[in-house]
Amino acid sequence: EEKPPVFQSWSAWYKLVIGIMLVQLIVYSFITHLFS
Amino acid sequence: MNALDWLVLGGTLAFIVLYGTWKTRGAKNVESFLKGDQQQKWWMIGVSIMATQASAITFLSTPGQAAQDGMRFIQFYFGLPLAMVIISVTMLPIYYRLKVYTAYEYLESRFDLKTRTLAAILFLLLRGLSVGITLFAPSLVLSTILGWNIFFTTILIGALVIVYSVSGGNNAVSLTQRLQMTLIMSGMLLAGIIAISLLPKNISFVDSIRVAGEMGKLNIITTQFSWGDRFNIWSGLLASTFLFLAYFGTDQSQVARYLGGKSLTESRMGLIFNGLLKIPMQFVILFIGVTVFVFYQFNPAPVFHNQVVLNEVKESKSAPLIKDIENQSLKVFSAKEELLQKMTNSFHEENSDELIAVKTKLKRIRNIEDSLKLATRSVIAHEKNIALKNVKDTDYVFLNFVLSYLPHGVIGLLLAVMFSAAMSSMASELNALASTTTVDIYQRIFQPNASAGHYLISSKTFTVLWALIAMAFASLANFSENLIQYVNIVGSLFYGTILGIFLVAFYIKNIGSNAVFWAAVVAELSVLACYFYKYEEIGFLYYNIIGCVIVVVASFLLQFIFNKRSVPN
Repeated sequence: EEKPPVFQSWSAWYKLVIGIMLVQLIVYSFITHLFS
Repeated sequence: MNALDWLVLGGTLAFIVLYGTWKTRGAKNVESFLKGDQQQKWWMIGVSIMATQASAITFLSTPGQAAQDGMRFIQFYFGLPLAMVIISVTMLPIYYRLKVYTAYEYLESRFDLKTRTLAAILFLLLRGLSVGITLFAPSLVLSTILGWNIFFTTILIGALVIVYSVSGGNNAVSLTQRLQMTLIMSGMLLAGIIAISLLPKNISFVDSIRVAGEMGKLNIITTQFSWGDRFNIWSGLLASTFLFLAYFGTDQSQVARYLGGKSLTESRMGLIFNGLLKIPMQFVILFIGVTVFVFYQFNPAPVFHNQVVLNEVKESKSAPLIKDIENQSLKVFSAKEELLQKMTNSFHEENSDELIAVKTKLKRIRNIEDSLKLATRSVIAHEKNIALKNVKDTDYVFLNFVLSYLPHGVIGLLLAVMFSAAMSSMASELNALASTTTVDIYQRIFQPNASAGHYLISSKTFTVLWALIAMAFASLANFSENLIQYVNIVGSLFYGTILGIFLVAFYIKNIGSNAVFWAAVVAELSVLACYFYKYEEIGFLYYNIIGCVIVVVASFLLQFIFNKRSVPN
């Protein structure tokens, strides 16, 4: 298993990808709620 | 279009094609032609993946979709980051370990030749149809707007792609995609900035967002579930995850992008790059559409955005009807302008009573606008003798805005963006179709012992052949749906079954080839039955789940029956 750049493990990258997706989901939900 | 626009359009397209062809000239052998030199770094893979997925349809249809239906289409992409992670963990290491050319090769080592061939044929069907749409969509819109013959536009895009993809193979595809993606993103951002700057001076950016919100265009996340509703957060997180797993994990046009990586790490990072950037990119494109919508709240919009069709009807006996609708639209626009001014004043004064009163009046105005739009479509449908539901102008909203309001030079740049986006997707798709036809069908079944040089020539021949099929399809096609949906519908018809075969292959070790083969046949027939008999009731994104689940469940059942009867597997 090759080590990924920046982080110590691949799972950190995967958590980052899912985390940023969830942050976008929350921010967009907030915008929808705020302006609609 | 003036001379400057033609210069920008011709210059950028010629530069990309000539530079790509020269830089990657003469692929030496079939391996470098189909897989590239396997020196791709993570960012090159990421850009290539995004350029393959985003065709001209993405940039033509998506802003129009946002202007007419709001931003909720973005929910379709929420399954993508999940799919990127699952593919990075599961499929990618297997492809690397087996050193495959195509995804379908793996199926023979896991099952048998007939299952590999079935998956390859399903892919060729779906991708062969899709590449036709990839080419047809921009040809239709561009030829309509520029007044060209669609046959000429089709030949132009097809021929340019053939030049570099036959000369340099996969390396040429990747290199030109980097140039094309740079052009596309800078062109779209420039269009967005200019669109915002064209808004009235007394309307601030925040005001324009609030106006868009009050008009229901900032419906980014919708949580109501319905089987027939295409875009809500549930279809985005569930159904589109299946679609993207199949598209990025088993579709050769994407698998070839990351198999050209320098190492497993570079390929993984390329997928992660895509998982991080795709949703923000779509947000920007959709937001440009919302900006165009707001612009048309403060400037008179045409009653139908496909100006060519509108002008034809204006010269028919229905002309007085259209004239009458246009006059009424202008009256409604004046009334709306006044109300919008009141609305922005009430934002600033934080006068909620006034805002509620204005919103009620605006709602009435918008109902009148909707009925005027319906009247226009009815006149066009009657005059052109086509069904009302097929009279749509979503795909024309953005380009019509570009041609009417953007400065010269930028118009040429935006047209180059559309042509480049069409070419970047088509080149990947042709390379994948040629790979699968050569490796999975021709070399494996018909001509297993020819020389490497023979396979290089046959790969190039199949590239040209598929391009000609796409060009013939695009010249003869006639579509009614919003174009971006067509690609997703065609994909959804086949992806569920293909994904089901791969999931059984990866995760269910005791299922043999006969069980999965017949389960796949049953699944594909079931999905086609849903499309032909239940089109209105079941949103097409769910075909991906239906096909996949049927393959998995039916292969379990069939394996159980085979074991009972102890049929050798």
